[in-house]
Amino acid sequence: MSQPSTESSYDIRYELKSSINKAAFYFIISAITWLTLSSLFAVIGGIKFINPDFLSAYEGFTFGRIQAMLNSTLIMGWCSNAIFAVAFWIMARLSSTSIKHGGILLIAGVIWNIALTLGLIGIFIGDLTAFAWMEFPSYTSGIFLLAYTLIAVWGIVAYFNKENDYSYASQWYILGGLLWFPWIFVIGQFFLNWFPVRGVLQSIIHAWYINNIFYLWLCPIALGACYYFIPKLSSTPIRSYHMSALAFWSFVLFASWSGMSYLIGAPVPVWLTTTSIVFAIALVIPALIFYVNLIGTAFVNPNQLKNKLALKFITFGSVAFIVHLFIKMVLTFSSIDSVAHFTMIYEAHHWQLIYGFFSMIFFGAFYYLVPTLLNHSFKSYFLPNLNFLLSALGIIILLIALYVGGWQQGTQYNTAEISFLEIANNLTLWMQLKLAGLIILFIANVLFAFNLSTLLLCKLLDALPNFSNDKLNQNT
Amino acid sequence: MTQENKKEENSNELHDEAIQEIHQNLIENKELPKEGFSFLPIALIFLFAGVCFWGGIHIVTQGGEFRWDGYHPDFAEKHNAVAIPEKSLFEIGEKVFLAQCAQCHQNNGLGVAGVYPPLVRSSWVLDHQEVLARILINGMNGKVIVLGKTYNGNMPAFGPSGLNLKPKQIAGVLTYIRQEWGNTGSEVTEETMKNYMAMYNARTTPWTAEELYVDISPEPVAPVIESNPESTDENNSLDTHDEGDNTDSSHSSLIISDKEQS
Repeated sequence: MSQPSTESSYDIRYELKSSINKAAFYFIISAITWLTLSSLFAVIGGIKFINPDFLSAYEGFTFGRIQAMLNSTLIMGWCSNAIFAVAFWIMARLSSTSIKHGGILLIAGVIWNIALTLGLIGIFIGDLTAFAWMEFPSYTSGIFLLAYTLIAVWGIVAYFNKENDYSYASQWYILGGLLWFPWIFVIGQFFLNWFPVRGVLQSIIHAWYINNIFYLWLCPIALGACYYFIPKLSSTPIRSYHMSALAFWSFVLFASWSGMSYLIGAPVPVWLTTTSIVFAIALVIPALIFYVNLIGTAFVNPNQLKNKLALKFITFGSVAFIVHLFIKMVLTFSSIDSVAHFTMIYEAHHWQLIYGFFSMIFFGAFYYLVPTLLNHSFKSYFLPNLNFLLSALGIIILLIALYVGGWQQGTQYNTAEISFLEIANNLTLWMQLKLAGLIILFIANVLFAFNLSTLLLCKLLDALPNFSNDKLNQNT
Repeated sequence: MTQENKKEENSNELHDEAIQEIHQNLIENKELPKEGFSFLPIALIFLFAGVCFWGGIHIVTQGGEFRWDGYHPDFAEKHNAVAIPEKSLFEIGEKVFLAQCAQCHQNNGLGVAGVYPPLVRSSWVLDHQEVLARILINGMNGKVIVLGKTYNGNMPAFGPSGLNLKPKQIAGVLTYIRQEWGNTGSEVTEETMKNYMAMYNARTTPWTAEELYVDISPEPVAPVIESNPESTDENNSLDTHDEGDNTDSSHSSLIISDKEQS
């Protein structure tokens, strides 16, 4: 933003702007668009739980397809585009280099979004697959992969072109995430869509896929953003930074092994679930280190937290993440699992990760990144702060509805005297609360899109005369 | 919260160069030891060790032994507890009979006319368990009349002086021949057989037809209840059968009555 401290930092920023400016804005705009669309799908899905007849005249708007479109737009639309925008920028800044070939990046980004659009149309007309979180039809997976290769390679190249001879925690996470995603994606597509395996092996691979998409694709990048933004915005070095390497390796190892805890009680060889339970519990180690590293750092100067919008979002996200990890551990206890399995608690758990953690971190990142890229800050912080309040309120209401409602659902499932229909009826209150949460989130997301796009428009309007002046100067 | 807020938002914020500098400092100069010690790293080491310890035990006890067919956390416990289903005496006897006896007495138990006597409906087989047991343990030679025909063969011993079969195996064979091919004799239990073997193992000469019915004890009606668990275990696990142990240990009233008689 204003007053660059040294000449060199200005240069870096200038070079960055020139090389990936357009691509970065493209990813930011598409991420925001998909986010708005996804929360619309979420609201439609939420209404269907209260009024099943809503929009049910059209096959494409039935609940299964709406849910599939919601998942796809969240993961492949909002999350992935946001990752491409923010992760590359952090990578370039920390490597003191620039992302090269912005043109290819832009084209690849267009291809990615075409694949997603095709996928959504495919889901709408009924080509969806049967696997949650990878419902987009298999014919789009090749396009995703092509686009991803063209995009990710430049982030990895930036890391290996770094000018300093050390690496920073953010870079480990981002590099890791960029390298792990294609592996997870290809394994999932290969064994579930292209050459489907048979029997329970499908469930095993599916559980592995969901777990790793969350913990080895969304989490590392969001953690990388935390490790970058928290010390930067709170002007405090990371507390106990020397433990971050342990946190990185233990998180990656334990989280990737903990996926089969979704399958507790399923007819799969029990060693799979048992080892997953052990590794899920072992997540306590990285969780504690994250707590010290991230939250400990953010709360060193509580004043900063009050005044800095981006830091508010990111601290909220970090807290949500630590809580998420502890809930993950608790959910593996067999006494808890016997109630929580097959209930809305798992849905809540996913929402907590995707919205409570990932999205909040990236809202913060966007609120920092967009003004920086535009070199133009908000006139008023009222609406962005309102966005934070609404997002926080919405996700908290949503999580309360799903966790508490899910627990009630689970205990009633385990009571033989209560019929299934009664259980469904008893959930009405929680479903209404869930819908309220989803509507608040929808408003928050629209506000988010509005805030950033007004900033963009203001900048464009401001820039217009300058632009013509520049042209004039060049011509004369 | 407009302009002021904005100022605050932008002020005292680390630039990337500063981050990198601080980072380098952190890497080069690890935190100097302060007074006291940092609680977390030590706690973390203990926690890590604790998680590893618990995890190892949990995987071993609840991991289904890493088998593809272990589907329940209790698998290891239950799997090891399940004993291999025991074969019935009849099945054991069938196996031994087909391997040892069927060459002479034939699979159908009819023997070979004039050479090997038949077992089907033979009173020697169906009559008294002890007679049959004597023949099996010590063998038999000399003339014998079976179903009206005279045979003069040489039945080998299957007790310790001959093939040295275990009591259970001999009991199995006896049960088999008394119950197969339409024969309807009683079952010869392992316990009964042990008693007989204790009585006749010492004998080295084969029996003759005349001797067989001399000095026989009353036939046990039901399986002898007073069993000796030690000797049962021994027979399940060990190949060699220890006679001394058997003779010393308590037996049914059979032996006592027999000794009183003689």
